Amino acid sequence: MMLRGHLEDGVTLAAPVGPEADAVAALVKLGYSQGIAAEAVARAARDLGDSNAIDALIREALKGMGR
Amino acid sequence: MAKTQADRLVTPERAEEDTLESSLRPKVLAEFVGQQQARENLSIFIRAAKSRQEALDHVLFSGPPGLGKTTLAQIVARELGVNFRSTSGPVLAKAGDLAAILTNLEPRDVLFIDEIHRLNRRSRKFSIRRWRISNSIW
Repeated sequence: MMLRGHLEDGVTLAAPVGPEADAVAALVKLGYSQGIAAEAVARAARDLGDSNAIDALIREALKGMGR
Repeated sequence: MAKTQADRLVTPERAEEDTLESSLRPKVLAEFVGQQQARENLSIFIRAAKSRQEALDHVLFSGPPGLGKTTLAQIVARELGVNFRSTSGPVLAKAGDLAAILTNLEPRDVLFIDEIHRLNRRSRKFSIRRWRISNSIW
């Protein structure tokens, strides 16, 4: 795998699941790359905490990218 | 022949004249000279929107450079007492770019899209349910 040996110890890459995965798919449909969309949704999920409804995730991720 | 910095008329740095230019721009409709018909119409639109406490409907300004399209858009925002956000058609490469801007707007804000005729086809499909003041033909 290309990333092998390039990540710091303890860093894992986890594919988003549930509402986060759906939010990433929605952003990809809007023209963002998979990586940028996943990063924005992960940041939005962190900021929102427990409230991870898909519409809130998409809105927060878009807000982050529009600033 | 390569041009030097001194030869250039336009530079990214803010020049002294820029401050003067922005301070000379009319700030309210009453200060705006010319375009009488457009001013009268806008005045009615703005008063109606304010009295209904609703967002102004989409407005399209079209015409050659220097007529005051951008200035009028800024005046509309000021008269309505809302924020003015500006972008440009070619900058909106994908639908997500427009979605990101719209998500950051406050209710009733004015979004000015300069050169809207150069808007990407994908972005064009994206519905704008906010204020849109265009600087050119849609």
